[in-house]
Amino acid sequence: MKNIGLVNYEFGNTQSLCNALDALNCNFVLCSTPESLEKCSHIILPGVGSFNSTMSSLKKLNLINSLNNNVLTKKVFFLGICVGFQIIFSEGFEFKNSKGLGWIKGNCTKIDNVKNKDIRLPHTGWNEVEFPKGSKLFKNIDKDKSFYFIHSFCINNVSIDKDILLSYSTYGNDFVSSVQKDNIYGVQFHPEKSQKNGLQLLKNFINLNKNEK
Amino acid sequence: MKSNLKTRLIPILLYRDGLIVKSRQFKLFQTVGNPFAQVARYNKWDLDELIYLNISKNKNFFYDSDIQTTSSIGSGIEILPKKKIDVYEFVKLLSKNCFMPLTYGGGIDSVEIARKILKSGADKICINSHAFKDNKFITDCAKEFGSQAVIVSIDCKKKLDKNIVFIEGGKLDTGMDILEWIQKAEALGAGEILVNSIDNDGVGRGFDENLCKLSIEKTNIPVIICGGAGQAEHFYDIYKKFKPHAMSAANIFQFTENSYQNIKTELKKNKLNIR
Repeated sequence: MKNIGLVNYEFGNTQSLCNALDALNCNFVLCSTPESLEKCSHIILPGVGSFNSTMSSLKKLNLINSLNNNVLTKKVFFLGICVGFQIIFSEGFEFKNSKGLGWIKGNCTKIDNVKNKDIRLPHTGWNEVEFPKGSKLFKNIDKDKSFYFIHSFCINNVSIDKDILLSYSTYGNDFVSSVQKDNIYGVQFHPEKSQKNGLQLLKNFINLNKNEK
Repeated sequence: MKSNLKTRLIPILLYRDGLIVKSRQFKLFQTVGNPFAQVARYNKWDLDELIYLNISKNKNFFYDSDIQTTSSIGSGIEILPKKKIDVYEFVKLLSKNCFMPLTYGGGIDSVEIARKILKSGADKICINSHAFKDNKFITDCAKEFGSQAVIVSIDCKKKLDKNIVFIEGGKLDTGMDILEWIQKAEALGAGEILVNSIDNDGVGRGFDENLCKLSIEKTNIPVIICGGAGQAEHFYDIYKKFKPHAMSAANIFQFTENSYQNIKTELKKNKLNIR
C-alpha cells in the first residue's frame, strides 16, 4: 500500500507540489508532525529558501528524528527537492555554517561565479541534466533533458562519492543535479515546475516499489 | 567557463478588470480574452515560464462576469469561478495546472500580501511602484522569501539620451535614470530584473537594444527584457547581440496562433540555446 507524504513546513512551495501530485492523480497527505510521517511509504521534502532556515524549521516541527528513523532505519523512499535535496548532505554554508541531515557525505557551497560575469546568481532557468547512468527516476524522460533550476548554492561534483551521482549539470562548473543512495533520492532542480519531464520524474518516484529491485 | 543554461522565452499576461488585455505604450488597452482560458492555452504550449501582471484599478478582487460568457472550450481547465474571488484564490486557480514557474505581480505592497501570494502557488512575486517608493520593501521580501522569489520590474521611457524610470503604470515620472535604479534594486536584494520599455511596448518594432545592453552590463543578476517583440527575428537579433537571460513579450503570443512554438522552432533552427 502506497502512502505518499508531502512534508509541509514553513519554507516549502507546498502548493506547487500539491498541484503536481493532483495532476498525477496521486493521493497524498501533508505531514507536519512526526506521527504523520510514520505511515508513509514515500516522503517528499520540497524546498525553497536557505539551508539554515530549512533545517531550523524542520527542527522546530520536531521532524528530524522522525525523518532519520523513517528514511535510514525503515528505508522509506525519500525525495528531496532543491533545498530539501541540499540538506541531506553533511553541511551547508549559506549565511552561516550549519549541519545538514548528513545522510550523504558532501557539502553545499555557493556556485562559483567570481571570475565570470556570465555566471549570474541565482542560477535561474532551464538547464540540461546529464544522466550518465540509467535510473528508475529518469525513466521515460524526454531526450532534451532540461529541467527548471533556481538556486545560488550547490553540491560540488568533487565533494561526493561517484557511486551515488545520478546526474550532473553545468553552470560555470559542473555540479550535482541529482543523487541516489539506496532509498534516498534528491534533485537540485524543481520537477514540479519542469513541465512534462518533471511530472514524469515525480511519477517515477511515486511508482518506486520496495519489492522490485 | 561553460554553461548549458538556456535563455528563457517568457509570455506576459496582462489582466485588467476581468479580462486579458493588450497594451500599446501603456495606454491603449484592447481586450483579448478571459484570464483562465489564456492560462489554459499557455499550459498546453509547454512554456518556459509565465508572468501574470494585474493592472486593474482595484487589484484585490477579481470579477468573473465576463469569464463565464467566454468560457474556455477544451482548454483543460474545469474550474471557472462563479463569484467574486480574492487575489489569493485567483492565484491558486492560476497555479492549479501551471507546471512551470509562475510570477504574479500587481498591487503587492506588503510582505504579508507577498507571502500569501507565494503560498497560493506563485513562485515569484513581481514588484514595481511600491519597491520604488519604499526601497526597504525589496530587502524585506528578499529576506523573507529569498532573492530568487523577487523580481523587480522597471518601466522606463526615453528622454533625450536617457532612460527614465516611470512608476504607477507608466504615469508617474520619477526623474531617475534606469541604470541608477537597476543597480540599487540589485543591491537591495532583487533576484531578477524585468526591464520594460514603455516606448516600445506593443509597437512590435523590436526590443530596445541599447536598453538591453546597458541593463545587462550594469547588473550581476539575470535580466528579463521586455517591450517591442513583434516577430521571431526580434528575439533572434537581441539574443545574437546581447544574449539576455530571458526575453519576454505579451501581444505577439496572444494574437498569433502557435506563435510561441513557432518562434522557438525558428530560433532553434538558428542554433540558439533555448529550450
